[in-house]
Amino acid sequence: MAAVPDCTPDLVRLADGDRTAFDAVYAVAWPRVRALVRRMARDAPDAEDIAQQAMIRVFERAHHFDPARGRALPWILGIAAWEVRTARRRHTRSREAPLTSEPIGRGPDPHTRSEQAQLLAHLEAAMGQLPPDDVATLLAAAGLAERPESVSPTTFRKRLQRARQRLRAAWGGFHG
Amino acid sequence: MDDFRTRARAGYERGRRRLGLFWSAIVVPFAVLAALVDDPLRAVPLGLSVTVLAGWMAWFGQRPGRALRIGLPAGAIAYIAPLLGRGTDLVTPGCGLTASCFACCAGGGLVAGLVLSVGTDGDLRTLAWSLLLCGALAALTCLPLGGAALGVAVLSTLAVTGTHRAVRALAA
Repeated sequence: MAAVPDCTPDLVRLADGDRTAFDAVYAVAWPRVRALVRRMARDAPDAEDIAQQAMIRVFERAHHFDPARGRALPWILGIAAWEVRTARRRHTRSREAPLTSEPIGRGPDPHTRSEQAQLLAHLEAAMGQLPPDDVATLLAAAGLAERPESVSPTTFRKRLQRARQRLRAAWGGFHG
Repeated sequence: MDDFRTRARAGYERGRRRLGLFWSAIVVPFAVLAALVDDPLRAVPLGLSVTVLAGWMAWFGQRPGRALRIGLPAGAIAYIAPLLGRGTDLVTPGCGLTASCFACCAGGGLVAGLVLSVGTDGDLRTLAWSLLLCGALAALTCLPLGGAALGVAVLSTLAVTGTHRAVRALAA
């Protein structure tokens, strides 16, 4: 059995700000994070998205890594496992969400409905990451809320553009 | 997958930027206090510069990043000494350099110098970055007093670091 390469020194360098260590950490960590997430998510269709989200989270927190508290790989996989649990909770919440009031036998089939519920959950999560002003602007643009009278059309257009950019970035966290 | 590698790298840079903002936020109260108790025309641009410097050092990491963790506490000591002197009426109004206020600032500078030399463990490049931040923070308060505190800090740092390196060289 091949020994698991230790990327602790590389992650220490990366935590210290040495950008040249990025590729080494990525090469060791990504296949393992991906395998762990696939195993934990039982090959769910969004396993790849969760794995990518987990890996991005690892790099976002790389500067927190402290070698005195343990080696790199358990630390990385711990973050990945946390991401899977968070995704599961999100998924459970989306399943618990009330279904539409359409009568049985009409409307989309259960598979489509499940996909829609998942998309809706991701949209809610993405909207949840936006500042309240952006959410208000998007809702006003969709006609779901009143547009504030004090805001000029030009300002509103700019705000809407910014809110859409942020939503797109947040959505990218779920769907690449 | 190269696209994902780019996103992961962007995530790393995002984390570094947050770190930079965190350290900048720590420096902001120093700048605000200096603007309140001293000349705002000097304190505001200097405070902005120190805030940006601290943020950049944290974002960049490596030697400047390590120096930040030493230079900031040392600079805080050199910064507080003139303010303490002023608070306890040791300093004459208008930042006049009297013997008592100089002693207060020199004491602060000495402690700051010791912190710098011990914290940087004889690494001269890290020491240089730490001194830069320490000096910028000390200059935020009353300039002549901050300068006095910094001068003593530099002298004591060089003395202790020089001794430290000499001892090491002898031991080797």
